[in-house]
Amino acid sequence: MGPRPGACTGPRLMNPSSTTMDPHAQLRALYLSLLTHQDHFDEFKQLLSLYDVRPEEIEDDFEPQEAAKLRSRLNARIRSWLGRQFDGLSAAQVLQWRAIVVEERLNVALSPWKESNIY
Amino acid sequence: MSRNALVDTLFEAFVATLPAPLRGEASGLACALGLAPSPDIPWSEVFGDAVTLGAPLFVADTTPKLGGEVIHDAVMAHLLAVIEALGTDRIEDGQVAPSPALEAVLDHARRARDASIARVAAEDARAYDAAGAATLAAIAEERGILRSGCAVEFARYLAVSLEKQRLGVPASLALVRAAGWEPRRRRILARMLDAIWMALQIHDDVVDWEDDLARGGCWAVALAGGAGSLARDVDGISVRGAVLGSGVLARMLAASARRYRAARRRAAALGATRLAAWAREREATLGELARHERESPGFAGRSRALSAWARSVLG
Repeated sequence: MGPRPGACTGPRLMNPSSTTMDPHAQLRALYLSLLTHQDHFDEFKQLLSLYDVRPEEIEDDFEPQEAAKLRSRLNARIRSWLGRQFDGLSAAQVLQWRAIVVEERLNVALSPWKESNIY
Repeated sequence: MSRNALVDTLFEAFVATLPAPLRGEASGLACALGLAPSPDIPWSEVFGDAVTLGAPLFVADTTPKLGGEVIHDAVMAHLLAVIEALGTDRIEDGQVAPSPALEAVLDHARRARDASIARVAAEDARAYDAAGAATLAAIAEERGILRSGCAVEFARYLAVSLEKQRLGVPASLALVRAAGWEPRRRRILARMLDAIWMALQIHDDVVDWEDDLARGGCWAVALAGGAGSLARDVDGISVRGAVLGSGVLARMLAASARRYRAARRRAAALGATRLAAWAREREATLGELARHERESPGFAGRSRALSAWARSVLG
């Protein structure tokens, strides 16, 4: 059975470009870019909010075509911010970022007495 | 037993004293108040530090002759005071819907708090009456100011915020009274605690300012010129630009760092070495955060938004 119509299958869920940069260093560079530039953060959050994919679809190696296009756009924007090689966020990584930045699912609510965890 | 474990054990002990129908409500209180994502998360994990709920434990470093029971009573009084204040504030503010069970739990917490502090120092048995009244008055004043949309001077912000912290002091003061401290040292301790609560509060007012604004008002906007004078888009972008452009968040963070410094010095003078070490670390962190915020407005908010990801992916 072939892939479902409109789906991007497994291998295309990851960016195929190769690089010698440490993936962890790439993510750190993205993190620092988002930390230090409000416009990057706002655009990143806005694009993540448009990424409409259910986690089960990613587990089945199915990414709707529109979502794949959006992810590609997001990765292109990240490359322009970083000005260097960036492998690109996978579908699973985009969902993880979305859960944290857009849905704030992994942030425990802060009370009036609580300080943030990193700072 | 660690400080966190002790706090949780004491809260469980409080829950065990409640009538059976209230125990479930009390066990999941942090979740019911919107402070934890699930009912099984203990209070020690709600806050990012051990001082907020366990301050008397740190103060106890300076009172080695006191028995564990007195210290536990002081911690019990303190943690119930903080939890009760959070609950009352959230109900008053409309963030949490009141229910008979929730209000009954908070009422029990008030009584257990007062009974605990009375066991530490009988002279302080009613200390929470005045502290609670001052706190409620300050919260009412804060709401009035923020809902007015007027600009506010930094000094007034600090004065109102200080009054909101009064509940964080009595248990520790009672503890050192039990240890026989003379008035001058007790005043230094009170000022040290004021500095700590203010440092935490100011930092929180920075990282939560957009959430607070969405709920009706926040200090950052008032300090930046007042909501009434700031341009506002539907999505709040103009307000954000005005606040970030004003530099007020960096000023607040620097004020927080200064209070940690003051707390660190007083803690060192009193011999509260672990508290001094904690305050030193916070002073450095807040100083660094203030610098980043000055250089890149909005840094503190973004740092908070990305913190969960940074912890899980960057380590």
